[in-house]
Amino acid sequence: MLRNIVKTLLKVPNTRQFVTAPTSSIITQSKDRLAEQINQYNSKFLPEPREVWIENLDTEETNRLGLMKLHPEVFADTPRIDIVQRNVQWQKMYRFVSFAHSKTRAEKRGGGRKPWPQKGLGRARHGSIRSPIFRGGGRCHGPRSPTPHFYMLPFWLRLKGLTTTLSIKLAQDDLHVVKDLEIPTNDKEYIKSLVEKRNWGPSVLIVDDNDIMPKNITIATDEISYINLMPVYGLNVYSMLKYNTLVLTKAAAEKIQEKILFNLRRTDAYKMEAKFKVNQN
Amino acid sequence: MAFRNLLKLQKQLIPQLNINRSIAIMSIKCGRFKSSEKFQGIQNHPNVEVIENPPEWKYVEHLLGSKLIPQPETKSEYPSGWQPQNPEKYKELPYFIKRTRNFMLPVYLDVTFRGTRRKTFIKNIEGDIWKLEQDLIDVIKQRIGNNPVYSQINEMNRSITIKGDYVTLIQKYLYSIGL
Amino acid sequence: MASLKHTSEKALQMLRSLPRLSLANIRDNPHSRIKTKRGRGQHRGDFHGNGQKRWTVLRLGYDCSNSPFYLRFKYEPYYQGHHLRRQYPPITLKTLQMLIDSNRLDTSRPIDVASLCTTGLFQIFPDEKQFGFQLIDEGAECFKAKINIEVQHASELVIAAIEKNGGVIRTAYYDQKALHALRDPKKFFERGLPIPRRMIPPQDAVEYYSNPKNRGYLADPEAISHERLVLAQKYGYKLPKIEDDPQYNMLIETKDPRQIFYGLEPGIVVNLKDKCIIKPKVDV
Repeated sequence: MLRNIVKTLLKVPNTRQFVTAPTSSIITQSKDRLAEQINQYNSKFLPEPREVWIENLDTEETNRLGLMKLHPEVFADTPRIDIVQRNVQWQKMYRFVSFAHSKTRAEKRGGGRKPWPQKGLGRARHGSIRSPIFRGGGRCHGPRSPTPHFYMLPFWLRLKGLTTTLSIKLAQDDLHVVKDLEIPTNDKEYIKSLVEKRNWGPSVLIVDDNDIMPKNITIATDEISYINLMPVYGLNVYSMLKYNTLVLTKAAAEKIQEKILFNLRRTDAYKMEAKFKVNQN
Repeated sequence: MAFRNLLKLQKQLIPQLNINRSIAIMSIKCGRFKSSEKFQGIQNHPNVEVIENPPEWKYVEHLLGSKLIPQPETKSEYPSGWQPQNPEKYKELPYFIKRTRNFMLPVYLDVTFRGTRRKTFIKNIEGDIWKLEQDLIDVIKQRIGNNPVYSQINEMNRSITIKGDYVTLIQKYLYSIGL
Repeated sequence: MASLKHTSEKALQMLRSLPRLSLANIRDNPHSRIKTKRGRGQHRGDFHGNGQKRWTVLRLGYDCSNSPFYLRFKYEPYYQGHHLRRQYPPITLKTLQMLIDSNRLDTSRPIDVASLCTTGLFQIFPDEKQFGFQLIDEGAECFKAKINIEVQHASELVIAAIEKNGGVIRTAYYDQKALHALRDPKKFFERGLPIPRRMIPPQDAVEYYSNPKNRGYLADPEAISHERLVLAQKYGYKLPKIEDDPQYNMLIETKDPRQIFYGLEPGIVVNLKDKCIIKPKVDV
């Protein structure tokens, strides 16, 4: 069903219709053609769709099999470095639990007895040797373990983070689209030399739309720690920055566009903006 | 079972107490595991029939609504004053304003200092922002005469801020030029 | 060739000549995170909320007197019965017209609370004593749509504006439980409960919903059609003949007073996953 949705959504800017509208669309029935006219952007002032080569993984040298158009709202979004940083920070911190712990005066050993009488000694009055003003005393407002640092970054910021990072990757020539992940051998040297020859960055993140990948590539990349496989649902800003090169399969690229475009135009966005609740009942 | 009996009791009491009955029926959270009734056995299950592809399904589909924001259509007139973007009209303009995801104009009213300060804020501007500002000032001066119009351009933010409440005026102008 | 006139294009072009973006060279906007400084020293220090050598945090409601304000005046007459007052969040005719213009609302089907809530632009919170929507007459002069709408309250001018354009308006009452189902039908169907029956209005609302002047759903249809004529004469417009309208069947579509959703009777369970309906078998 979403495939139908994305097909209508991919009818974008200019007169270039790179995806034809299906005859039976969920959202727009006979209104398709009228919608096209309204949707025609002025080519002067809006980013154009991006074109990428569809490469192969069969041979070590690059073979260009065709062209693919990528939606500008996903792959040509304004590069917001600050949003990228906030996403990365969120990804680090939302699951971080601090186990730093300092004892309070009650938890410190000793300190139950009044150290010296209240009056008569000419000394300051104290009730316990473990009070915070004492050396070796308890810490008043110290870290208390376990302290979670969970928070939810707003929905639109998370979405913007993905689109921005994908755009940056594409702009900096670190994004490649391949037809599929079929390789001739399961030898890790094959993948290593492929990456070398193609001048892909030392670390490569390969994204497929399904989480069950072809056998050969799974075995080949298993030994290599810096070339990893990932399904589309695992795509995140941190990983995209961590790995130098991002390799998407054609199916993965389409699925990513589908999901992001859907989220950019969903009617129930107010549910995403609502306060995060663990109990989703 | 106990809860339902309690409700029956409430129903008997209510007419005497003359309380709004509808409020007395609280939302029963049967959908939750803990508060839903225990299964009493298949023999106590009500007699039901399952109808595949029922004729009422079109009503269900309508209730679910569309998952995506529908695209606007070209119509002969828009009585509310709202208009969709018109590529034929805005083609020649040196600037462009992108509509929001709900196809509305990104022209907003900022009200601060307990209502004493009003500013008109326009964002998502592309192209020659200085020309747009000048055009907007001309439109405003047609209304207020030769008085100064205080405006600010933020090129990094791609926005214009104008002191005063000219939201409807600017919206009408932008609709008229096809943006 | 990517157009360089858009700001994002310029920025992306700039990035091509800059080092690869990585975890090591990203940062937030300057001054976006301000470290809250603790009070120390002459002006920000002192007792940090505590008194001098004392614990002086006052409990909630305490006003340093023997009998605090909230205990002296236990209630105020002005809010008596506030929990019984129904709220109806307003929708202007102008907003309604704008939604129809922008193709957000489908006028080929009757509009009710469910249709308005599924647009994603309106929400009803039954827990906050909201009982549905009311239509406001702002924008009555520009309202030109022909719709079949069911709200919970509408003024005379609103009714006139809608009927003038050949539409149909009804006011109907939904109790809280029915409203919970209606405001988010998808969520309700996913609960797997049978559709409940709608309750009749409470005593203070029966009069309103039985009055044909308000186009109440409990009113006599004959009386309503008489009132339509009366209103047309009052406001001076020609009453369109609904019978001659091609959308006649849609315009006269109403719900039973015990029905929540159009077309779906109480007692059935809607199974969204398997796309089927579970109906109770009626023993003949």
